[in-house]
Amino acid sequence: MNFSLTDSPAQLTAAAKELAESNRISQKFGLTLSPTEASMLVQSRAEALRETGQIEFGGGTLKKLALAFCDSPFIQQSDWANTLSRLQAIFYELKNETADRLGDDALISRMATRFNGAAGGSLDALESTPPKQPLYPETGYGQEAVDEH
Amino acid sequence: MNTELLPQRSPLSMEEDLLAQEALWRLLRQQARLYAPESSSLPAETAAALAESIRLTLGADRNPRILLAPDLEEQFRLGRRRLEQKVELSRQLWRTACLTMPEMENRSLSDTLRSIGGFWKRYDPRFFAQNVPCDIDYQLSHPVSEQLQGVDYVNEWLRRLCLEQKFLSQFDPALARAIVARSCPDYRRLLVNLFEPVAVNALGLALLGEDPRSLSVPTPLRRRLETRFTALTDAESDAALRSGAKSLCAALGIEASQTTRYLDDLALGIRPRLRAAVEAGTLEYVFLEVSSPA
Repeated sequence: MNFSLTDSPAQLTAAAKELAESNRISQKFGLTLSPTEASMLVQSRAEALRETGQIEFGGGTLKKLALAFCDSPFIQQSDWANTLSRLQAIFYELKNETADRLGDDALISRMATRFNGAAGGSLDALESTPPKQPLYPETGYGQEAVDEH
Repeated sequence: MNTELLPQRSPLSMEEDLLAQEALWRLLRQQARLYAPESSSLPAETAAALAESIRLTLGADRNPRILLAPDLEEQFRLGRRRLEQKVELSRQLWRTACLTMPEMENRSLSDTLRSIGGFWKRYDPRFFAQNVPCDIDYQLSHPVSEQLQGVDYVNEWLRRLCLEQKFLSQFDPALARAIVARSCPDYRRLLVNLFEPVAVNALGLALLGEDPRSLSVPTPLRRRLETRFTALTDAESDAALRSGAKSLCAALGIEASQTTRYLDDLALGIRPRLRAAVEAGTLEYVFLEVSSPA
């Protein structure tokens, strides 16, 4: 039997549907995704998973990211789709770097806190977050990286 | 367990293969949620290991058709029960192995048994049934097939060790130690098998109709073996060695089929070494001579 750990088309469709649902909440903050953007995000999610060597089982990460970041004062409608695309790539990188020691909700919440706080809305600053920062946010790890941006 | 003896099942058709993959995915999603309830994704290596564990639990590595069973979840639960029973068996085998350790010091044997003693604390049959979380360094006379995984590997390894140790227990410990020391003077510290030199010498004596318990093969007896094997073809040597293994079992009162097969394999396994030694002109380093220990 040839068993492959790649995404099944059914999973991709489910992810697109989930994302469209999150539109209902994010539009309250003036942020929406067109069906084309939602579809592009699902594709880039598959790429991010491939690049970080992660396999998704539960789904819902994009939706959670959309809901956690849609009230950020640093995000405009014009950047929304691209920002979400970067955020999911950063999410999977941090999942790897933190050796999966944080659950999704905890990691997303810490990402949002950092993005809206010390990172000042900079995705580059968020991306350079040292792995110890989300694990031990109270210790102030990663402040140096933020200062460089 | 000898996996080569298992019946070959018909391969899956393309459609069945897809259905089996879908079923495996379903179980994998379920297991992933149990393994990391707060994460929607896992590193590919972890996911692959979980999938491997599911296959081993179900026996799908040998019979992928089980993935098509309508009561797959029940099959999975039964597979888990089987694993738990095997884990219990491994404890019993380990205890037996510790109680029957030969009266000769060998660091790799004691280190290996100590490490297996911690196997149950580290073994996780729920998620990683294929892992062998202990260091097994001691060399058996016949290594366990790498096709066996997890607790199956450990149990087969322990079974073989118990068999080797039970065989050794039939000999005078001082004599057995002398034979092993003659074979490898630094046997206490090196990764050597303790059973094989003793079994080979006992086989040599059985081939001549002598008492295998005396263990030492003095020069006159060795010369008889040299004369005998010089005249034999490979096929004749094999037949003679098999017959010697039978005589050895008879002389020691060994009836267990696993032990008789093990000794038969040992006998056939030494033929290349025997031939090379005969061609070199002496069996001095195959059948060893020791003076009676004080």
